Amino acid sequence: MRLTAGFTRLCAALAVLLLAAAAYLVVAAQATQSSYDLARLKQQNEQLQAEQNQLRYQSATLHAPARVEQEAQQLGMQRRADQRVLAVEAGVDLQKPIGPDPADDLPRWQRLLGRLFGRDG
Amino acid sequence: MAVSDFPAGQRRLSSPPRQGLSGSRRQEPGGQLPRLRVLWLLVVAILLAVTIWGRLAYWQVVQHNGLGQLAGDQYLHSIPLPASRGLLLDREMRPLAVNSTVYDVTIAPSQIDVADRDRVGGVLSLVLGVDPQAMTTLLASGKQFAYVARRQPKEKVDQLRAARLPGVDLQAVEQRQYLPGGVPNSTLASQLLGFVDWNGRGQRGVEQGYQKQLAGRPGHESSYTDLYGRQIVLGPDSRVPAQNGAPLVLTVDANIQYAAEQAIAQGVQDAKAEAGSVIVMDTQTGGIVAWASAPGYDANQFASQDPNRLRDPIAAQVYEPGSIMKVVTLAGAIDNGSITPETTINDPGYINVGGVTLHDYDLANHGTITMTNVLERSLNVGAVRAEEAMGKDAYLRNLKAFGFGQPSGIDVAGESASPLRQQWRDAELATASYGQGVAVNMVQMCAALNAVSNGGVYVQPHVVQSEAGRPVPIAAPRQVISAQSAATMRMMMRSVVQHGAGHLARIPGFELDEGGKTGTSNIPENGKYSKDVWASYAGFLPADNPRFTMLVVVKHPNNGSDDHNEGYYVSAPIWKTIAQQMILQWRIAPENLQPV
Repeated sequence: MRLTAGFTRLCAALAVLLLAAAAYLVVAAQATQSSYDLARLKQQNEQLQAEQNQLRYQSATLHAPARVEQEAQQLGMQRRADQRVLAVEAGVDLQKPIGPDPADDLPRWQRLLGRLFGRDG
Repeated sequence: MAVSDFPAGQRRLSSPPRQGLSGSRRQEPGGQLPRLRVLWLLVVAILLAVTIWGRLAYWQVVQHNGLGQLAGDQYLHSIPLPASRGLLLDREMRPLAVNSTVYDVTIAPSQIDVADRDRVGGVLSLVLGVDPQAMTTLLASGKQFAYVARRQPKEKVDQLRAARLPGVDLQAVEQRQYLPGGVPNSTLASQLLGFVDWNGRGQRGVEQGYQKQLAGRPGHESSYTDLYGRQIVLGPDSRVPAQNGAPLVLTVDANIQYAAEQAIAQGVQDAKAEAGSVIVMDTQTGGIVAWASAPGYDANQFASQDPNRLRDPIAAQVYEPGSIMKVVTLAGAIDNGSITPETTINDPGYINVGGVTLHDYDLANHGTITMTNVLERSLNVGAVRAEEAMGKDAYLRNLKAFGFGQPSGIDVAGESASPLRQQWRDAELATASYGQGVAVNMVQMCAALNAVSNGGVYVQPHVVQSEAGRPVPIAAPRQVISAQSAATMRMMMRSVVQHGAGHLARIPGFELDEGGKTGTSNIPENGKYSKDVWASYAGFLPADNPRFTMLVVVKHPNNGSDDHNEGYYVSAPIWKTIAQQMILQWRIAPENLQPV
């Protein structure tokens, strides 16, 4: 009886050890696999960055003045040789700030006071 | 105590009774032999142990580094992580220099089977344009490593990838790329920007001047690999990430730069000149808006360019500015109180200084003239009289105040500047007043004129306005002449355009609203002045609140007659063409000033 119990414990211990070893192997294999995946993704990232560089260069080239001029010429446009600058009196006050009059945001009583006393606000 | 009282194991360790060995041998002759044997065994064991420990120490301590290196080479790989070079952008954040990825195609002939050689060689020859015979020789060489082609574009590399060639490797490399310039076979602002060599080092211009900031700091990564050389990312690796270079925002306007390159190239061609340059400066900030020279060069193909073209004529070469220097002389004299625009002198067409007779360009008697007339007609005698009125010391102080005699400090590599003479003879001082016998670079000259445009305030000329988003510090502005003197000088320069030699620079709509000065100076050769000239024109607009100051210099124009080789004829029209583009691009409106 005592022998059987001891043997069972030994078997159980061995089984636990085997399970632990198997689990370790699985985790180690997964880690290695993940490692390979990461390496592959890093390579992919580098390639994408290279492509991004390439696209940035293409974009810069397409927006370059030389390219714009080339396109304009193909569309039949050309520079005027006899350009003249004319000074024109502007019909609006160009110095005036854009947007609604700041006084519009004031409460009505303040605007009323302003009108009464001839002051803004 | 008897010997036999000790246990057997302890007996050999205990000291024998002080009777001497002979006495002991006599008493117990049979007991000495085992003890000797034990001692011998002990010695042998110790020797063996020392040998093993010594050998262990040899491998583990003495040979540690070498063996560690050998082992590391097998499983530990160190990969350099290159830093990406910072971009160069213009003032509107448009790219001027960007990075593209190209590929070095390498081959390991020793790893290619004989049966595959024909296919590998054929594809490489076809795609890369390599000589097939050279490929066959290379493949048969059995070498471990060889370059097939360098800096190949992605399109070709994609074809090679698709072919899946054994023993062929493609290594990505970052390469600097510049935009097309204003004329064929040139890149935009090539002389200003410089280029980056195969080793990633900036050469000339901004690329060299800001090499440290642009290059960044490369990193490295050490990682373990398996038997097949695959990287084990989760291993105990060490990684020092690369620090990318800082992007630089320049004060340059790409559109103006482009227009300037076209105009200067056309001007040089029209005048059958040797070369020409133009520099445009933002009046208030001192930032360089355009910096163009003809002939330029293709920075993308720097290795195959004429080395003489790589040198920047604007900052790296000096020239004699000629009559444009009269602006500096007269401005100093006005500020000094020695003259006014209405000061009259008698100009017989020549003046004798220190035993040397100096002439006006036309050798004519001009009679009584004002200082404004001196500037309008560019009369040397008047400039000499202004210099004499100031006095030698005040004149030299004035030159230094306007930034002559020392480098301008512009932030590009290779600025060349001549110091002022230590000893001046009277005649040398006199010729310097109208820009002969004094050597300056174009940046110095433009910055000095810009001080007049900018209310007498000298601002530091510079090219880079911010580095990685942070403003680049520049020297503080300094008042060179009073605002009143500068305004007076600007009015005299307006008169040059309205009544004098600057008439070919008049822009329709801005005739009353621009100031300028012509200049023509002889080029010294072998210690003597030759007939060849530098023809120049400098100007600004709008007159009261200038937005830019521009200087055009054309070297050795060859229009047939002396008159047609002068600055007013050669350089003023170039100035006008570029200024018109600036008016359009920057939407500059005239100020409706009255005639002077």
